[in-house]
Amino acid sequence: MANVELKRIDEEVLQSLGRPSPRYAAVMALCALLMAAGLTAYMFQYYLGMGVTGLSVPVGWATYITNFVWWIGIAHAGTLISAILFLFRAKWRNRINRAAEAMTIFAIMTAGLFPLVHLGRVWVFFWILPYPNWRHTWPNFKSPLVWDVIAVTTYLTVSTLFFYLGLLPDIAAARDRTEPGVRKRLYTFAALGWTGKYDEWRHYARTYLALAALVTPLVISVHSVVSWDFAMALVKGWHTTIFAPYFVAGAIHSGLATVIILLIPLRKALRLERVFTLYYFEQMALLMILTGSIIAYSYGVEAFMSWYSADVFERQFSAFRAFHSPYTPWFWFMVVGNCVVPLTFFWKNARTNWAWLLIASIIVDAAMWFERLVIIAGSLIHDYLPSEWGWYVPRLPEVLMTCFALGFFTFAFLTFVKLFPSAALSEMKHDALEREEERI
Amino acid sequence: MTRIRGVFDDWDAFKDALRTLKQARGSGYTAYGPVNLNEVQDLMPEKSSYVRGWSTLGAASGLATFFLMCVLTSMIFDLVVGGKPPVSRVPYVIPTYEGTILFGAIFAFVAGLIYAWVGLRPLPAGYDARFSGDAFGVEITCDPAEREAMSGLLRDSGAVEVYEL
Repeated sequence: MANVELKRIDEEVLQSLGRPSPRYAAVMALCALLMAAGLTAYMFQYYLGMGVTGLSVPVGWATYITNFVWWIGIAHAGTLISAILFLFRAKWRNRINRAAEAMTIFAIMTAGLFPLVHLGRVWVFFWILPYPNWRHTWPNFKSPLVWDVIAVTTYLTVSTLFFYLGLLPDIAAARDRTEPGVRKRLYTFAALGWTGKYDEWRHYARTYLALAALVTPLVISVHSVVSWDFAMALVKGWHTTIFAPYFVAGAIHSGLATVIILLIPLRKALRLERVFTLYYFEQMALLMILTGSIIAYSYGVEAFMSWYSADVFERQFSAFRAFHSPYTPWFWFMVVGNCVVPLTFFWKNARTNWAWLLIASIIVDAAMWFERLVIIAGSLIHDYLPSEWGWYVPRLPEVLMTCFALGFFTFAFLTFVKLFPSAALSEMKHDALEREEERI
Repeated sequence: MTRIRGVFDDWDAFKDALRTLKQARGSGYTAYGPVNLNEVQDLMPEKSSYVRGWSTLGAASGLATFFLMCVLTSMIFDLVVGGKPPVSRVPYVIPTYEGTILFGAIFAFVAGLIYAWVGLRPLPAGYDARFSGDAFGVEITCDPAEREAMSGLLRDSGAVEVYEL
């Protein structure tokens, strides 16, 4: 009887919306503490100026932009899982897509803070917006930085619409199974009067498909545009055509790692072990072998092209980055972390081991962060003329703002999974009914 | 006209009821459920949706809006740019591309909500909360004279409960 299975799905997922345990609350308090520390550091920077950071000639972009690129990258796995795998009818996405989409939204929001923090004079951020103004100036639409603003805001808007649409039937299910109170009022408001009528489902399905089709090219384009912030500049280590696919693969790689990092503790904390089973983590691990291999290929091509170009500066810079830079240890860490560690997932024992899945994902995420730093700051410290060479070390405000981002993202995610179903109920029910059909 | 609703806890019985109704009436009924399946949509009297059309229209308007925004703002830019054409079409492909997707998505979303008639509204009278959980429903709109026949049809198909709205 299918309805027994449907009832079980509701009970299993909706029980996770209860009151948080003391340990859960303690993690949220820790996140709040990180946010408070970051805000204090930011106020310090706001009043004293950008001089309090480690930024100085020749390194004008470093930790803040690294954080921006890293968080935008993390946002990509959610859309890959929810939209691209939906179009490819990969059924294993159905249980993890909700958490991955939520991660996407919060990661873009976190990423969006950093260009503002990096701006210094944050109070004039609106100058980037195209509106008639007394200065008679408009944003320069030929600039990759303006493309970036448009791409990231589009990504945030479309991902949010896609996420909310997918959430609608599940909010309605939560609404109908919640006792009267504040929570029920929230669900009633957010469910927009969803009744489950098949006329609603018909338009819902078409809209979901349209949004999935529209958000798919965004996955590719957004990180490509982010990569062009660098690739369009005449800086060694930046000016290369492989950056777009290289960045997109890296983004999905780190995003998948983050989904694993979030869901392994979450399945325990929310008692969702039967929902987020090992099978789904195995699939993500297998996908990480692919993305890790694309990254390895990109690293190889980058090194090969600098040699094959016969450009003395490119050749010298490649050797510098790999052997003589202050960032050389981080360069090798990124190579091993991004390319070698995911290869361990070829072994079933490795990809079915919870502890290794978590450790490997943490290594991948850290390696991806250092990859961004090595590309951004590592290229700027070594420009064409020796007189332009320099050095960069992050200072306390940058470190604390990085902590703020981690705290903000985790806090937002933990709040979300306590307020809304963390697995897609309607899609899990869809799967259950299809399995029932196949059995018959 | 009167509305008769049958509640099904069995997925096959629900589909049987819809199949019977499609053959017997062809229209004048609707269904409720916690999940969308193409199989059910095939048994419904109404199949069309104009969401894709609105999405295409939105995408076209986004394309035009963003491209014109780039071109027109360049043309009224007061600062002299050295040696470069004030309107450069190639870089404008990027904002145009993003604008196409942005407007296409917004139009699709709004159209979907409007067509599905969801919004900030109270739940309709007679809403059955079981349909968002583990039950399916079939609702028939018929003459009062057909009430018994329709109730019988739903019961014969396996409805665990039949009631009039």
